[in-house]
Amino acid sequence: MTHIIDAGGENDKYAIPLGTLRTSHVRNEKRLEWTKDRLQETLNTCKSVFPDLEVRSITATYNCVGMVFASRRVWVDPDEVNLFLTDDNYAKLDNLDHAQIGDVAIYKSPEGSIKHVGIIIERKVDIKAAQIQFKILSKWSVNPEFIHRPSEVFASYGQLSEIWTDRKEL
Amino acid sequence: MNYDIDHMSAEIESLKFCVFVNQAAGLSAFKQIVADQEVFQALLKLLKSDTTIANQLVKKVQSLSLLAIDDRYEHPYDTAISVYLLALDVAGLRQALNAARLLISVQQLWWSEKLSRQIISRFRHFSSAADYSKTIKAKTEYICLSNQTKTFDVIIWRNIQQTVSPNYAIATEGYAEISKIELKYRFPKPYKLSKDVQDNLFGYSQHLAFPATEQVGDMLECKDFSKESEPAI
Repeated sequence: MTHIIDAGGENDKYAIPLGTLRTSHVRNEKRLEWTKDRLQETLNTCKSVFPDLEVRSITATYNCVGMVFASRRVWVDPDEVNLFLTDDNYAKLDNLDHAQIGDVAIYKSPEGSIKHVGIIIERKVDIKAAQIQFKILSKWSVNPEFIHRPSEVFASYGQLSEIWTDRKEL
Repeated sequence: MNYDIDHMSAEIESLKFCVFVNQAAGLSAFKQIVADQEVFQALLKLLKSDTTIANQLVKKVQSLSLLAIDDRYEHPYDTAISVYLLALDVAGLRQALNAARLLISVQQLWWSEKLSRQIISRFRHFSSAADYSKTIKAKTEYICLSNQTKTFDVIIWRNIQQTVSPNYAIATEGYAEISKIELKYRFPKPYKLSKDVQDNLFGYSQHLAFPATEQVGDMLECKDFSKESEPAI
């Protein structure tokens, strides 16, 4: 029987124990795998739009938030991202160029809602172009987990808008 | 583009369409992506012009949901089912609730199950307001409180159309005239309807007053926000 009440909550057998430093439970849900032919289609579709994508992993069982904040175990709604950022003492960087490897990249819609998250995994200073270039690792919903440039995402994910870090300094 | 229902179904049930709309990470994004699709707009138009289409969609939902599926995998027609359900819901048709009730016991669904839950939950909220005697004025907002096991949800609703009575909302299965705005606060346990809740309602808090006697499940009228800008959240 489907869990109608409090889906993703503490009493939902399809959820796992997942919390923050201040919140005992963050809603999450396990999603069933897609068949191989359907996963292949997700890969084909993404690569047809963004040929330079590098694939890290192919599965439908977790999403971008699950990848960044739940060890790739479950789906977590992007609405919960602010809970992780505030409860786990992340700090927002003033400038996107200050991002370092391991920081969290937040994509937002023009209206300001969080649509996608990823992790900065490469930072290169391009002296000739006088700019800093990044690579991001993120999970594209049921589509694969990709290594991509910041602008290489579906339009529905919005734009890279914020970088948050949990780096601590002495 | 001119579609008939068979062409629409072929597109909606295709793997290509399924993969495209499944780029969403959450239900609200999924609904938005689906709503932006030409075939969905065409389906809505058809639903409004041909009264037989709604029942055809319910039959499609039923037949697809009854397919035997390998239990290791997600239902391959979950997306198509959810698109039909969303169309019925957006069109404000009572068949949406019937379909949602049908789907809630079907295994291996994802978006359809979430959508069904949302539709049924919305109906329950309005059911709980059945004895609330006031009419729901146009462009006013209502706060609906629900106590779901260990969480405490506060949902703000806005009536975007004409004035309706709660009984009318019930008669039309609760969702015909009312739309929920995307605002939901969740608390870790059932708080008393008091300062704890008000303190967490940000910009809305100044407009709300919870009498200590109010029961969870009641729908409480808020101030008319129609002439004011949205509070910052």
